[in-house]
Amino acid sequence: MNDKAGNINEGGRLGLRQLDLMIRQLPPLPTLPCVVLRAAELIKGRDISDRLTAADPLTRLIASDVSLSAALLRRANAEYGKAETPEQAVQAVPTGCVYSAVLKAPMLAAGNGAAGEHKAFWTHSVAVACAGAMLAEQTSAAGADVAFACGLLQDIGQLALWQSVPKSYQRVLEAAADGRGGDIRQCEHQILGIDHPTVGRRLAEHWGFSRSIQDSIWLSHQPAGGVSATLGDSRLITLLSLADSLAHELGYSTLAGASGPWGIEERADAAGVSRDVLDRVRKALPEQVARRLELLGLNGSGNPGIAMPGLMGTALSRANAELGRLNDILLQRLEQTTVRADAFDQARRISGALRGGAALCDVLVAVAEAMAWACRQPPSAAWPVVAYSLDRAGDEMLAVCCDGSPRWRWQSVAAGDWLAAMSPTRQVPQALQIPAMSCVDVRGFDEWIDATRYLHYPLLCQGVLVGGVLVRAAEAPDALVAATAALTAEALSDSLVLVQARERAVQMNEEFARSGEAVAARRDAVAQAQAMAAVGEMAGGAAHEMNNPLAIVSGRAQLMRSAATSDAERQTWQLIADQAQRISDIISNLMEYARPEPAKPEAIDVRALAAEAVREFSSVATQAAHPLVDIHVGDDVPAVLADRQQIRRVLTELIANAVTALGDSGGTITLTGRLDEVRDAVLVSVSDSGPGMDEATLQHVFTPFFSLQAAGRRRGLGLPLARRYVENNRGQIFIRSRKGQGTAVYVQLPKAEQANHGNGDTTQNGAGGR
Amino acid sequence: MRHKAVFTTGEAADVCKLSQQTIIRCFDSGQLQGFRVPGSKFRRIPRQALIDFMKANNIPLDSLESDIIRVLVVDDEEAILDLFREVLGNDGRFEVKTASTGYDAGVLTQQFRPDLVVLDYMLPDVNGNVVCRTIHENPDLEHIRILIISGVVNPAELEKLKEAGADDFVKKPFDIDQVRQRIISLVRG
Repeated sequence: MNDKAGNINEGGRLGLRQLDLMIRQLPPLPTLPCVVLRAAELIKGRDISDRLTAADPLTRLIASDVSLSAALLRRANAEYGKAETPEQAVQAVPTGCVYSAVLKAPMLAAGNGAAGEHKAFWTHSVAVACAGAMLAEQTSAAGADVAFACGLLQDIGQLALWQSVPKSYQRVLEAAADGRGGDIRQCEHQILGIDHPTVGRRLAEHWGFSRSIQDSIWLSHQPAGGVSATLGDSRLITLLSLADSLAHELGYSTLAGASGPWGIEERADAAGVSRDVLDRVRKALPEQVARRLELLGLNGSGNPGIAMPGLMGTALSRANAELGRLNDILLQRLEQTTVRADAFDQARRISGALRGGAALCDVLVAVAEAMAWACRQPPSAAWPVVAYSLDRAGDEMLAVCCDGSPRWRWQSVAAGDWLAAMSPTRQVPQALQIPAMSCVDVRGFDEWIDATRYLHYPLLCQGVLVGGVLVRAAEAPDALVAATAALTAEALSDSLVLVQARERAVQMNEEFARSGEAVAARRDAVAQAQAMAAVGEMAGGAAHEMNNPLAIVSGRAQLMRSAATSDAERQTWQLIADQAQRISDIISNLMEYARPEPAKPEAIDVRALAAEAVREFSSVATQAAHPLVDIHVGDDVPAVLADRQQIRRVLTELIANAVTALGDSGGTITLTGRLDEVRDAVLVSVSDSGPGMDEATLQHVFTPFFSLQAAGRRRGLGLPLARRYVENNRGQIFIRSRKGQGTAVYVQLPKAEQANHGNGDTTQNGAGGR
Repeated sequence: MRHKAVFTTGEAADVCKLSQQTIIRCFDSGQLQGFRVPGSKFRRIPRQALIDFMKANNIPLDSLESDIIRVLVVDDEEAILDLFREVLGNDGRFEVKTASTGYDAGVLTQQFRPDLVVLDYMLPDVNGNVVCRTIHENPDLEHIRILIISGVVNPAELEKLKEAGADDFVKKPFDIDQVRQRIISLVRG
């Protein structure tokens, strides 16, 4: 039965299997060219967004045509929900799909005298439909539309067979016309092995038509009373079989000119239809049918229009034209939707980046990538994409350069000039070409991008520029990309503003915390200064008080010494005097420590000061002999700005400490001075090769009067006082020491600024002024 | 000062323990020989003329002949004054008088006419500054040297005192020999 490809071979009987296959392979049922032509005229100029109502001529056209009804019902039931009638189907399916289904419907070729047969079939279907609708209406057995649809589609099986197995069906028709085989169904059985109600029903089932339609296709050719009353729509079916008989009676016959009797009276009784109703329907039917045929373009028999050879071609080209136009509309819509979808995608990505408190830098990278994507220009090393964010005042911008690699660069730039060039765009969200000049002016930008071929997409929030993106301009940027970019920019603006606000909040919090710390530190410093001042006052008074008795002790001891009779006595009295002097020195140091004199800075040559310090030390040294101090001060060491007396004192203290550290064991003391380029200051150091200090001692080395017995410390106040003086002169002091490796104390002092800039000028002026 | 060859009227008054006006009158009247500095009105008295005058008027010559340095010590602490009395008084080169208030200092300066005042500038009744200035700005007394002693070294204060007329500064506690030497060189220098 089937050839190798599985196609149905004609000439044999159709088994159920083949029937199934046939139904599945069945293309949309064809309609008449004039119907398509009529449809094209109705659709002409319509937009796909129009809604089709039940009263719309197009809807009525579809509802009147077997194939179109079937196609729409099939479509509706497959994808858009249950539809019982073609009107419902038309409203369920999107308008564009309706037009499409109608315009691309296949058409029956009008050759071999088939035109007449086609018309007969169409007329019969319409007649049955009209009669059924009228009967249903009159007897309130079912809705008119439902009855119409059922009636219209009753013989759909025939059309299907006609399409699938035209040659075999031709034989059936001939047999039926002869009257040889009985009525058409018997002929079908004989030749094909299956009848058209069965086929129709299978088809209806496959296409998802409603139960009513399925049943009416299957059972409406049953003899009167042959339909079981338990069937839900038995009444309708009975009515439809009556309608069918009426149609035949009135001459709207199908393919084979069959003859009566039609059993109308029995069917009418079975259907519960009175003779009155019957007569009314008989009377009204012709007119209704004529109207429907008119609608379909099948007006009157013998209309040359139907048989016209070129009709099909005309219908085809008209349908084609309309289809083309509708296609264009769809494409346009698609474009717009695509743009929106793209923008939406990008916005979604950005909001993903916003989650979890992403930093401004990261969000800017996401923004840059989003815009690049929207503009179809992926960032690359040669053509990076730049996104920037403006701070609230509009003075500073944070810019991110995205070049497709995982690492990206960013920098803070003064917005200034560049913004001035951009200001016309603040209010207008359009893509702009950046003037090459203005990009080069922005510090750092010119090294990132070649400004001549970039487009600027500003990000605006309520009309204010909050940031923007610079993307390479394509050779010929098209409108679609521009639209996508514009939409994306809108979505991105809000995200950017959000992140900016969050960054500002974080910054403010940090500043607040910092200022809190600063306030606390300030308070502490003030408290300490106040305490120190109080100590200083006290020390001043105490010193005066203490030095008087000390002077008396010292003076009296000296007097006693001069009256001493023995060396031992003399020495004792001298000792007393010395100790009194020592106490006085300690008091002096304490006073200096508590309330040092304000520094009187001057430019000091380091080498000279070192020599002075060594001399001063020697002059006050208690030991007769002490190690010499090696002075190494480089020639390139600049002058320092400090109080001469105080710093000299510092060096003297350090030297004294070093001498004490070396003790009797000898060793070297080195005083060096050099320029420290990293700190941009002068570094003077005093180092000794003495025993050094351990960790514990080192910790307390600047504490006044620290009592731990330690080598290298001459007096309780030496180093603390040195530090006081050094800090008084805006310097720093630090100490390096290790047990067994000696000690080095470093004093860092500020360079004296060059104060003689105008030297050359003054000589000139002097010469001129004279 | 004792070894001067020529005296001014103030110095002459000092030596004779008379007022300067008296000396001037005697000079002008011819009782006291002398000369005027050429080109000015200043009077000068040669040593011999002064000696003659003093002899003629029975003024004791020991102040002229002796080179004892008269020192006035001003300090509010009695023990310090005691100390100075011993340090200087027992030394034959000096004659010491002491005062413990600014007022007493003023009175004694007039009476005793010291060559040098050792002054503690933290006095109970008046600032040493004032004492300095008073002595320094008095033409009768401006030749008196002033040595400030104090327990506190305050460079700013010292500057002011120097401006007010102080000549030198010694810190307590001090070396007694150094102080004696300082006094001698200030007066003789």
